[in-house]
Amino acid sequence: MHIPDGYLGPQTYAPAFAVMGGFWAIASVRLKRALRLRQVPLLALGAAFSFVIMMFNVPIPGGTTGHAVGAVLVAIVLGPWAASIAVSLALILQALLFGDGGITAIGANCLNMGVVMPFVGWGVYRLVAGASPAHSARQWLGAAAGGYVGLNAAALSTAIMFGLQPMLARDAAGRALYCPFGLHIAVPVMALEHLLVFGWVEAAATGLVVAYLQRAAPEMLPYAASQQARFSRRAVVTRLAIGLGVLVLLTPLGLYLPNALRAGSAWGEWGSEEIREEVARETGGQGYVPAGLERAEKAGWKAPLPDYALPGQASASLGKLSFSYILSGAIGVAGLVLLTLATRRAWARKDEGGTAGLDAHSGQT
Amino acid sequence: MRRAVGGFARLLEETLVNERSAEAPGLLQSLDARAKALGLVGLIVIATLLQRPVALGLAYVLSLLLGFASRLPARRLARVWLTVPLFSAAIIAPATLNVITPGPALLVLWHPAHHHLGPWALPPAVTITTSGLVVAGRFLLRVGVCVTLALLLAATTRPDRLLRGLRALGVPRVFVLLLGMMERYLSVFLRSAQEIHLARLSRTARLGSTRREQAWVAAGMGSLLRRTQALGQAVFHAMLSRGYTGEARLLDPPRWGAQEWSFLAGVTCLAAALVRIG
Repeated sequence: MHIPDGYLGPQTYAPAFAVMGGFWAIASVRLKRALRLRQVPLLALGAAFSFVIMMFNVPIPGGTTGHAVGAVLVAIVLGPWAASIAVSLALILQALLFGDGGITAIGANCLNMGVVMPFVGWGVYRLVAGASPAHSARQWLGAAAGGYVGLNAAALSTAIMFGLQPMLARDAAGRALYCPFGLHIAVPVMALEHLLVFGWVEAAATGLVVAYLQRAAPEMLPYAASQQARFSRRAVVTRLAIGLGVLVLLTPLGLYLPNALRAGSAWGEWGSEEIREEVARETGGQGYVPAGLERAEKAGWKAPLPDYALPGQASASLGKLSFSYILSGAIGVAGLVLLTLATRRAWARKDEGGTAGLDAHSGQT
Repeated sequence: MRRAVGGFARLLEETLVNERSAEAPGLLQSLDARAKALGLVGLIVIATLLQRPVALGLAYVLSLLLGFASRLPARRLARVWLTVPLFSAAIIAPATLNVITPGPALLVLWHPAHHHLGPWALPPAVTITTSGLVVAGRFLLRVGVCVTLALLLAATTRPDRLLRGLRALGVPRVFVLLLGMMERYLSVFLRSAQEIHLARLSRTARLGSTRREQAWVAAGMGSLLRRTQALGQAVFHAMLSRGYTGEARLLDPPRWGAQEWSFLAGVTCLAAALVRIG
């Protein structure tokens, strides 16, 4: 996943550097506050560990091996901000001293493997592991899921960077200047190999190392405990609510962006009329709607808010539709929160009595 | 397992080879690391801006000349010049086809029986196009130039000086300090990882099931992680005992001489000429 020099144009690598510059500044301020002096050797050595862990061969079924990135593992042990700096340092050193990954692509590589991967993976780990005790199966299951999802998120963001190149930079004759493969090729190819192979390598490595730490050094899995001590439950819920609120308010972007970019519906999400038009365009004839599909559309489930629009607003103005979008978002989020709370209650009953030892491990990061 | 052991050994060897070639006499070796980092990274950025294959070809020749003037071992240069472009050639090969880069056909490869391959539409004939060859050629030249310049930077500068040279590129002091520490302990960790593998290899009669091998690799990673934490603590205490107060201090490298200024002036002129060619 290390992007070499020459694959990305300045239109991509310069903004990536700008984003990472801001990110590194925030990360160092946060770490300075949280870890004070201890951060320096721990981060430097954590970075050296991130470098070396990428060289371990993890066996996969079929007799072959793959490499793990390890960013999610480092995030589980050191926290996502520290992991982000440690992995960034490892990537910078790899590019400068060993030519693994390009020098101009350092920002992009750090964004994919040093930000997207540890943060997404750590988020999934925290979601699954929750406040479970250090010996709970949810710890290694969460780590494995975090590794899998984190790596795939990083692969997706890398694929998007590759896929944007032919759109962003062309010469006078219209030929691609950098990576010539568009989104329709880069995304499926990267997604396929990471969903089917490398994601599982990452999941196995992250999950098994956490399982090993659970047995051999449970004090190294303290994140849940120390975080709980630092933030009250109320503060976490408030932050989550604000984040969700902002996302809900941003949902009308889904209306405005396709409109501004003159894009059609998402591929494979056409209604019957759009299918007729697509078929007509492909075959050059009148077009038709497959009979089974037409039947299903007539007889199938009628959604209460089709296309996230209020009744009678299907062809209303963008402003009115935006309001419907926000309302639909709020209803959807409320439904999911209720469902999650119900699931959580069921889990909590199962794990009852197992959280007593957590605080003993705090303060290790 | 043998492959991993080989990988660790190769990396350790590479750091030694880099240090040796950085100490050897040569044009780039005699320059201050900051000027070199500024000049060579600047040239890499210029190479990513060039559009015409002629300009990229000239930049390639220039990077080769710099390599020869710095007396880098030809075998080492050849390894980078051959492996990286070959790897990139395998990736870029499909871009020569009209499926990716439409244009005038040069060679017809295949008349597909079906017009679709999954969700992708295929043309009546799959051909190699002249536009595709231009795209692929330009891509390979660009990758070649960048890789060579990056190798020149790594192979002609001692790692500690190279990292300190990053200050000239605006990298904050604390990051330079962290990178320096990381580089110093990297060989310790590489050696540790190698020992973990060798210890296991010397006790292995035959490989176990995939699951068992995975658990072993995970235990190796986990034990290395524990060592990281323990060593981090030890290093921290050692730093405190030497009076570390949290402020990153670096030795100020010497001022630039005429050689550094003329190198940067030369690089600037060349970069301007390359940009002018396009």
